Amino acid sequence: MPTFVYMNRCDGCGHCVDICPSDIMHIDTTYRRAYNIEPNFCWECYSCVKACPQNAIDDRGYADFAPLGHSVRVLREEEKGTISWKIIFRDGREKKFVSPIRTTPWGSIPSTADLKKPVTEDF
Amino acid sequence: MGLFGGRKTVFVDPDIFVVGGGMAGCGATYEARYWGRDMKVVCVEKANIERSGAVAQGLYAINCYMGMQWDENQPEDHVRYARNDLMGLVREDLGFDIARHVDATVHLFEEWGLPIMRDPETGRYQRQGKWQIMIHGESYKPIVAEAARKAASEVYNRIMMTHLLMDEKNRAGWPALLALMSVPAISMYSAPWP
Repeated sequence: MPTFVYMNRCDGCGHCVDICPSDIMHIDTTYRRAYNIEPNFCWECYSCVKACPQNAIDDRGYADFAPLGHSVRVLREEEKGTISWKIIFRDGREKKFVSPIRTTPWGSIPSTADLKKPVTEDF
Repeated sequence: MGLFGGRKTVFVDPDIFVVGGGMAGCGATYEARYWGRDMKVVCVEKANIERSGAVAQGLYAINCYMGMQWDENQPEDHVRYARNDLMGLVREDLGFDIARHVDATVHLFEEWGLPIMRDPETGRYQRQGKWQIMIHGESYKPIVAEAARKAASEVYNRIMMTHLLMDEKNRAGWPALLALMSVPAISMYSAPWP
């Protein structure tokens, strides 16, 4: 169920390349657009789909078990702290979900350096 | 420029070297900073720690939470559960040692910003079964990666550890082979190595 790139929306920025945990999103040097070099290795983590600033990446099941007509779209809004999903079934039904992704501002995790240093006497 | 033509050798000499920046590696990096306050802690990950590891996509549950603060389970219960599940093939002492730290770790994640679903009536974490608690974990890994980034002296992404170098008597160090990025990494930063 791999990801694929809409070449007309992609601008070759490389965010998907940076984030892919499997290193399978690469940039085609001729067209200067991203593409999935190894769909077999894709584990559909949606990291590239979420990371793309142009929303140019989609994920689709293999045609033998997931015939066309369905759609799963995701929008991760980091500043708002939400993730939104819109799922369209082949029979036309739509489901939408919005969930929080974080309760604190990004970058707010305190550094351990500010905590009290552990000393042997404490143990 | 050939495949390896433009590359140079970089020597890194940390006090604590964390190989892998998944959940475990990021956690180890954070702990390493706490215990080794003034040490050089370096984390090396073959992908990007922002989403690397098994939790890339996020999780909607934490499968192992004791709930000691509400007297729900104790580490002994988890040891018994593991023993049952693995047909007796367990190290009960190690299992206990892991189980006793789980609650504090989960509370730390919540402090960092991981949304955990709570029962509106009791205020406790919402469970699904005896051990599982439900979370809104789409950004589970990015949150933990942020903690690791703050804790580490340096984080190297897209670096693949390939060999453990040994001299005649003992370990000398781990050489890393710069993972060959897809071509844009070379064309975007016109000369990666000056």
